[in-house]
Amino acid sequence: MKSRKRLFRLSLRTLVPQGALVPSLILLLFISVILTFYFFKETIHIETPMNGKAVASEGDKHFVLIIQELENPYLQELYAGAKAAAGEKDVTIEFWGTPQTNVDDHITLIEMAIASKVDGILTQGLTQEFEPVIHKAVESGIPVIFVDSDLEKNDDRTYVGTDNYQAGYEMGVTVLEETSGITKIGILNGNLINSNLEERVQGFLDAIGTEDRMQVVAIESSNLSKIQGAEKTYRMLKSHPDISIMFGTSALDSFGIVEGIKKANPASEVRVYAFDVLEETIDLLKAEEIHSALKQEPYQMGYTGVNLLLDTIQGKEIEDNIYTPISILTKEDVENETDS
Amino acid sequence: MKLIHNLTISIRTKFIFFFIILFLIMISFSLFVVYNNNQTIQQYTMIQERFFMLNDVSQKSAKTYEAMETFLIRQLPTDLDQYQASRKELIDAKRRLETNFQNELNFIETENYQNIIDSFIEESDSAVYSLLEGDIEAYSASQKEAFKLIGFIQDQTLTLLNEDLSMFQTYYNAINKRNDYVKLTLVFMTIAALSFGLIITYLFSQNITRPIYRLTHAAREVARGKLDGPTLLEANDEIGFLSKTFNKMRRDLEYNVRQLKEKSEQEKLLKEMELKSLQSQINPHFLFNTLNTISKYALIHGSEQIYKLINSISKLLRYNLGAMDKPVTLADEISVVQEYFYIQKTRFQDRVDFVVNVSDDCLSLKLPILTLQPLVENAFIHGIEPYEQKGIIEIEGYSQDEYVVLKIRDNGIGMDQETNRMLLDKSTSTSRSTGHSTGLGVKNVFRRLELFYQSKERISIESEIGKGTTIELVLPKNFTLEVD
Repeated sequence: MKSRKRLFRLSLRTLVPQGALVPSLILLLFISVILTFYFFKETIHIETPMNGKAVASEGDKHFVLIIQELENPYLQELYAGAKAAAGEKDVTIEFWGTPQTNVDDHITLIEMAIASKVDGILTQGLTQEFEPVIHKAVESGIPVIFVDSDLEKNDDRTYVGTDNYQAGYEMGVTVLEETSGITKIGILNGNLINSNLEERVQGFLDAIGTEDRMQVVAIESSNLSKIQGAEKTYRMLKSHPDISIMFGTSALDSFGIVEGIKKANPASEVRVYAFDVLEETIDLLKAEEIHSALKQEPYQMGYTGVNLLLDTIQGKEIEDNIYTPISILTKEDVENETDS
Repeated sequence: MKLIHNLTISIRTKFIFFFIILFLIMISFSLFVVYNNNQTIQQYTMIQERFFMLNDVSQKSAKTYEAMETFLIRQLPTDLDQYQASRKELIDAKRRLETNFQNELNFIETENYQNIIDSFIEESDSAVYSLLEGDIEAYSASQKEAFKLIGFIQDQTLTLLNEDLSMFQTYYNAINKRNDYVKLTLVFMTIAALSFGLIITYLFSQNITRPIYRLTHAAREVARGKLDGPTLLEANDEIGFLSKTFNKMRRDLEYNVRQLKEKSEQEKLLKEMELKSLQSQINPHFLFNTLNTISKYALIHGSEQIYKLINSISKLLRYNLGAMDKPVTLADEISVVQEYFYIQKTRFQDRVDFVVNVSDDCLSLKLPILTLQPLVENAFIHGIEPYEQKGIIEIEGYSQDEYVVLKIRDNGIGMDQETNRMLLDKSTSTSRSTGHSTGLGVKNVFRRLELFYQSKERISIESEIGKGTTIELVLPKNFTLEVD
C-alpha cells in the first residue's frame, strides 16, 4: 500500500515538474483570460442595420442628372462637376442613366424622376422626342435644364454646354488653315440621334464650305461604338483612298477612326480631327495619331447646371443658352500641359 | 500558495468560495451564449423584416391598382370602399418605410420610392374622381399614368431590394465574423475555466489532501511506537487544528513514556545498590552482634581505640543496610562520612586530614542515600592513597539562592581531562568501581542524583593532574518529586 503510493507520487512528479506546474497554469489562465476579454470586446462591437435614420433635412433640394451612357468617362466628368456644385450648395444629386444610348429608356428615367418628385432635372437633350416628357416635368413644377446637348428646336428651355455648331465651325476653320489644295474629307458622326453631333457636323460643313477645294466624300455613323467606328473608317478609306482628313464628332469616334486607319494602312497620311479630350485622347495626341482635338468642359457644364437649377427654383431669370468654353488642343498643347 | 496558507480561511469557506466562482463562470458562459444567439436572430429578423416591408408595399400598391380598376369597370360603391381601404393600407405601409426602412445609405432611393407611391396614389385618386365627375377622357389618361407608375413602383422595389442585399453583404460578413469571435471567446473562456479549476484543485491538494496524508502517516508512526516524528505543519484551518492537537498529544505521550522509563531505571539502579549491599552483609545481624561483642571486649580490656573503631564500622554498616529508597538529610550523610573517615584516619594516621565545613542551614537538605560517602571514598582511593604527601579532604557546603552547593575537595594527584569527561558523560554505562566499600562508583551517584532531582541538579568536576580534584554538586532546595 505504502510502496504503491510512493510509486504513484514518484511518477506524478516525473510527469509534471513540481515547481513549474502552478506558474505555467497561472500563465495559461492569465493569457486565456486576456484573450477571452479581447474577443469578448470584439463581439460587443457590432453594426446594427440602420433603420429610420434620416440624414438629409426636409428643406434640402434633390436633383437628378440623367445621361445617355453611364460608363462614359466624359459624362462622368460632367457628373463630377454637378456633384461638386451640389456639395457646395447642400443639394443631393443622383446620377441616373441608361447603360447605352436608348431614347425610350431615357424618357422613362425622366418620367420616373417626375414621379419621384425631384426638385430639378439635368438631362442631355438627345432628341426632339424628349419634348413631351420635358413638358410634363415643367407642368409638375420641376425645372429642367439641358446639359451637354440641346434639343434641336429649343425655344425656352435652358441649355448649358458647348455651342456645338460653333465648335464644329472652329474645327472646320482649323482644317482650312492647316490644309492647302484639294482636300478630301471623311466624317464619322457619333450617331444620327444626337442633335448636338448634327450641329457639330453642320458647323464643320459650313466652315469648309467657304472654300471649293474642300470635298466631303463620306459621312458615316458609328452609333457611338468604337468597333463600329473602326469598321466604318476602314470601309471609308478603302473606297476613298485619297481621304487626307478624318473628322470625328465624339471621343469614341476618334478612337474608332484611329483604329480604322491602322487597319486600312493608307498610303498617304490621314490627319484626324477629334472631339473631346480624354486620357486616351491625350496619349493619341502625343503619338500624333490624332492631329488635334476639341476640348469641351463637361465639369463646368455639370457645375453650372446645378447652380442654374437652384437659381430657377429661387425664381431668378436665367438665359436660355449658356455656352461653356471650348479649345482646340494639339500635340504641343498637350505636351506643354503635362510639362507644367 | 503561501498567501492562502497565511489566511485564516476554513476549508468550508474555501469550498463555498470556489463553487461560487465556478457557478458564476458557468452562468456567464450560458448567458453569453444565449445573449449572442438572441442578438444574431434579432439581426437576421430585422433584415428579413425589411424585405417583407418592401414586398408589402409592392403588393398593396398592386392591390390598390386592382381595386381602382375594378371600380372603374363596375362603378359599385363597394368597390369604391374597397379602393379606399387598399389606398389606406398602402399609405400605412408607405409610412412604415420611413421609420423602419429608410436609412442614410438608401435615403434618397427610399424618398424617391415614397414619392412614386404618392404620385401613384394621386394619379389613382384623380382617375377615380374624374370618373365620379364623368370626365371619361381624363380618367382613362390617369389610369394609364397610374399603370405606368405601378410599373415604376415594381422597378423601384427591385432596385431597393438589390441595394439592400448589397448593402447588407458587409453586414452579413460582420455577423459571421462576430460569430467567429464568439466561438473564440468561448474557447478561451473554457481554457481559462479549466486552468482555474486545475489551479484550485492543486491548491486544495496542497492545503487539504497533503496535510491529511501527513496526519495519517504520523498517526501510523505513533501506532507503531515511533513518537519522535517531525512536528506537523499547523495551518489555520480545520486540518491545522487536527495537526495541532495531534502534535500536542504526541508530545504528552512522549513525555509520559520518558517519565515511565526513567522511573523504571531509577528503580533498577536502586535494586543494583541493594544487591551490592546484600552481597557485603552475609549475615548482618550476626555481624553486628559479633562486632558489638568485640567492641565491648575491647572496652573491658581497656582498648578504647578498638572499641571506637569497631563502633564506627558498625555504624557504617548499619547505615549502608538502611532503607535504600528513602531520601536522607545532609546531616545523616555527613555523620556517616565522618564515621568512614574515622576508620580511614585510624589506618592512615596523620597522612590524611578531613575537614567538614557545612553551614547549618544546609543540613536539612534532602538527598538520596549514599551520595557523599562514595564521592569521599573515591577521593580517598584515587586521590589520596597514591599521594605521597599529606592529603586533605574537605567537604564544603553553603546555600546559594534556591540551591545548596556541595564541594568535595581533595589535594591529591588529580585526574586527566579524559577521565573527567568520562565521569560526566551520561551516555556511558556505570562502570564497575573496585575497591569501594559500598561497591558504588561515582557515576552511579551522579546518575541517581539526576534521576532523583529530575535533571535539575548541576554537577561539575574541576581537576588538574597534581593539584587535586573538586567535585561540585549544586542541588535544589525543597525539592519534591513530581512523579510520586
